[in-house]
Amino acid sequence: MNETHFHSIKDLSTHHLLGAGTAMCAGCGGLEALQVIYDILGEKTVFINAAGCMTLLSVYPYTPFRGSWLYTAMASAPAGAQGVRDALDILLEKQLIGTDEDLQTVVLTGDGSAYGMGLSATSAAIERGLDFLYICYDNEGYGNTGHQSSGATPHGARTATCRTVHGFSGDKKDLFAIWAAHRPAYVATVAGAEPVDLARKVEKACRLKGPRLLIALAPCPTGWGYDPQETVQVGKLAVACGLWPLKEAVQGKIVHTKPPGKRLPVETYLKTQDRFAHLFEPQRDEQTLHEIQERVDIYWREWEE
Amino acid sequence: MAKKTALVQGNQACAAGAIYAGCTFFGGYPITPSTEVAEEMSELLPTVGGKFIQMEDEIGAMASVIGASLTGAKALTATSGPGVSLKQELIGYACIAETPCVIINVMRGGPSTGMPTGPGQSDVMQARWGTHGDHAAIALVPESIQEIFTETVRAFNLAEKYRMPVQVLFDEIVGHMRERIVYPEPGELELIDRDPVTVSPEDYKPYDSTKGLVPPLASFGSEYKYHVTGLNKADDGFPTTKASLVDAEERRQIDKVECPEARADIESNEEFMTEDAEVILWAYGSSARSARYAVNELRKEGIKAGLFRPITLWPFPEKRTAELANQAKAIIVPEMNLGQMIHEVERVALGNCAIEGVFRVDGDPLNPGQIIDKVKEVI
Repeated sequence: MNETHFHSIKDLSTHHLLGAGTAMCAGCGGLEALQVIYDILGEKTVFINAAGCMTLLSVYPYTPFRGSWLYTAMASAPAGAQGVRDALDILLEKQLIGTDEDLQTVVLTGDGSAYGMGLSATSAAIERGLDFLYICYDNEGYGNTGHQSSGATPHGARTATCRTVHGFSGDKKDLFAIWAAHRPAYVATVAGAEPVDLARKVEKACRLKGPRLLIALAPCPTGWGYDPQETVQVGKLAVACGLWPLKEAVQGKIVHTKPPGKRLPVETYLKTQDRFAHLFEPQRDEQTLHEIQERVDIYWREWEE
Repeated sequence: MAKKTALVQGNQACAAGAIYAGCTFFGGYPITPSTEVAEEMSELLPTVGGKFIQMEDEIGAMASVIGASLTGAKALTATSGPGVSLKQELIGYACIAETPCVIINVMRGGPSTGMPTGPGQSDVMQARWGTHGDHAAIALVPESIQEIFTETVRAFNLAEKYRMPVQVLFDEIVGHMRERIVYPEPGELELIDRDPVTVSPEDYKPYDSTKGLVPPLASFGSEYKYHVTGLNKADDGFPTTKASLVDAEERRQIDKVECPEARADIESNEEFMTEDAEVILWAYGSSARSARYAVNELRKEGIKAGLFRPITLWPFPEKRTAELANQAKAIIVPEMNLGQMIHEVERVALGNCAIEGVFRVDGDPLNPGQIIDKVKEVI
């Protein structure tokens, strides 16, 4: 039952279900993750979306999806999913559709909605035990409106609404911990740059019932400031530097699925992006660099102990 | 010395106007097509000792503005249609709690998400009746980049003077368009601060209207301590269900804006070639720019057209609109919606002239040709 189909990258599909040529930016790390996720979820899905970059996936007259799409209000995607799931259950109970016609209810939002405005609706959906999959593509800012700060913006980063000398003085919200504290059936962090780990987690989530939530790191060439061809490398560095721990929690039990081992210095990752350029030019911001490294070291020290 | 000029976007002019007016607090949330107001304020406010805060959502942004205002700051938020929809409960709160603040609405198509990057003028009735319950409303509708600056300043003045939320509505066209602006010198435009409290802290009642329809507002953080609520309240700020008090407070809060003296102070209109006009183009915001062009073209053809342009949309310019309805054979109302302000024009015209609309909601601006065609069809 728990045996995975994904042992290496060769086990991933080479024919993608998600149509090509969407309106996403070149090198979108969110789309990179969604490709893998959708291949595993399959056609029998209905997506419930809140305002964000991926709202632009389906623009007249094309959609990359094979099924239906509900773009609801910014704060409300998990609540919209509740209605869809309940109505599907009514159809099933009345035998108006067969189980082979049932759809997976999938919420797809960015971090703006997931970490902020939609958090209350997600909390309530988990509390109600809603049978749904939540995919958050996390590009650490409001990408669709020009990369303003969001609840996911990391320490030290500059955004369109935070141009201060040292970058954002606060910390990225720990959404994994917040969601995990609700003890949903499944919650995990993933990255498109680590597709095998991602595929295994989607596979596991699909085998479970109830609330299942994925937070996908979505490197963003437009908002983070790097060449689109470097998306995979940026994603891999986030993991290798220990900034994006790949982990999962099943009914509250947390496991790191791909610990980085000997971690690279966070600078290796930060230097790849314009949003952190002020930490290196015109002079090194040793204090902020130290703070970022320290946060990572403390996190892993706690786990490794 | 020559005045400072620049080529700026409407949203930038709005932020500059807010700073000129003495705004020290901005609570906002990103939304197209207003986001540049927030981005600009995030850079400008720290330079004047103010605070910019990006909140978790539109509701939080509006609540933070109310909190800042009650603590003495001139407070601003900027958003677009869906954001205004979310703020509506708290806009009503600001009305009943009589909290000065300015809300910028850079209008796009609607309803719902509509057309985020396209212009619209379909929030003009929302600005009047969006929040539930009886309440007064002040809404300003600038048509140019220069006017966005001056009307933002005036919005702060009116908010502070009448102790209430004031909305400034301009559409995506003027919000994103770049035009030359001549920055007023410090002191050139009048700035109004809220009336000082003259009674002792022991005698202070936040809604005491014995000396005027607008009670002076003390600030949290001063020696004045008082109670603020969204419930119907008595003059001391505490909730009441006593019929006579509730009735009197509700009526006063509307009278303070709609009494003749206040209307004369708040209303602001521009008229262009209306003196002998037989056809009035009644237009506001960027639609008025097309209407003005149409007037010039029609005059060349010997058609006596004129433009009436409300700069204050709410309170509605009832008196002057009624006079023009008596003077003209027809009033044409061009709007980037499917007919909203035209109903107000019809209401006060009392059937004294023909009234026709020219409406557009496809994301393109109204062009002068459409307006000219309608005029020729009507006369």
